[in-house]
Amino acid sequence: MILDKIREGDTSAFREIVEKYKDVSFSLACSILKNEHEAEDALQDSFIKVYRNIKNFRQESSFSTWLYRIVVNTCLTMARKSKKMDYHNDNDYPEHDFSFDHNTGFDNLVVSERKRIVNLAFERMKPDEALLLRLYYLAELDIKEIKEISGFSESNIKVILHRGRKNLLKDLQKIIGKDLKKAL
Amino acid sequence: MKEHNIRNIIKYGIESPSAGFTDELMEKIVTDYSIIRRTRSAIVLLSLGCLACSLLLILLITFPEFNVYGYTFRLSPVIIQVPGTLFLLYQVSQIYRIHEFVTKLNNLKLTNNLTTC
Repeated sequence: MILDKIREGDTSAFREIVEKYKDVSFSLACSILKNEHEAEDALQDSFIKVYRNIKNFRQESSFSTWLYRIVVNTCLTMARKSKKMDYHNDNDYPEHDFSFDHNTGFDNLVVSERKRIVNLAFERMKPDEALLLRLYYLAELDIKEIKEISGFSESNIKVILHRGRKNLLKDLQKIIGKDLKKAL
Repeated sequence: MKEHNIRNIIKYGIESPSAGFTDELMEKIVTDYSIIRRTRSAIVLLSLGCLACSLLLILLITFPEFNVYGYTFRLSPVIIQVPGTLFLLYQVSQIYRIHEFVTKLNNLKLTNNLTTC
C-alpha cells in the first residue's frame, strides 16, 4: 500500500500523493486565505506536516479527510496570524475583461473563462461557505467527514451549504449577467 | 438547479498551484529529512562521546595506578586533564554541529513544523 511505502521513507510514493491531492487541497486553501501565494505556502507546510506525521496516521478516518483537516487547520492558523478572515462582501464587481457574449450562456464559454468566472465568484464568498462548498462538491466528502474537518455541527453544515449554493449562483448570475438556470 | 450542475460548476473552478510546486516541495522534504537525520546522528554521537569520556575520566580517577604485563603505569593529575580537555572539545564541536543544523532548519522556515500537528 502506498501509505506503507511512505512510512518506509519512499519519497516517490509521497510525490504520487502530492500529485493526486494538490489541486483540491490548493482550492481549499484558496477558499480560506483568498491569496494564491499564501495558499501555496500553507499547502507546502501542510504536505510537510503530512509527511512527518504519516507514521501517526491510524486510519481511523480516510486519508483524504486527514489530509484536508491538516490543510484546513494550517490555513486557519495562517489566516489568524495575518488576520485575513475578512472577505469582500460588496456587490460592486470590478471590471473584468471577460471576452464572451452575455447571450451565449455559461455552457458556451471556453474552459479557462468558466474557471475564471467560478473562481471570481469563490473569491467573493465567505471563507466558510467557499470551504464547505468545495469540501462537499470538489473533494466529494459527506457531511460527517466535513464535520470532522471543519468542526461545525451537521445542521450548521447543511445551513452553510444551502446558503453557499444560493450565494454562488447569485454571484455567478451577476458576473455572467443572465439567468444561470437558463444558461445551464 | 440540479446537484450535478452545481458540482460541475464548482469543478470548473478547481485551482492548481504553480508548475514547480511538487518539485520544490519534494526538494524541501528531502533536505529537511536529511538535516533532521544528521542532527539526530550528531546528538547520538555527542551522547556516546560524553559517555565514553566520562567513563575514561572515572577510570583514571579511580585507578591512577595500574599494571599491564608487569609494567606499572602511574598517571599524574596533568595526564588526567588530557581526556578531560578532549571531552570538552568534542562536546563543543558536536554542539556547534547541532547549532548549524538548527540554523539550516530555521533558514528553511521549517522549525514551526517540528511539533506534531
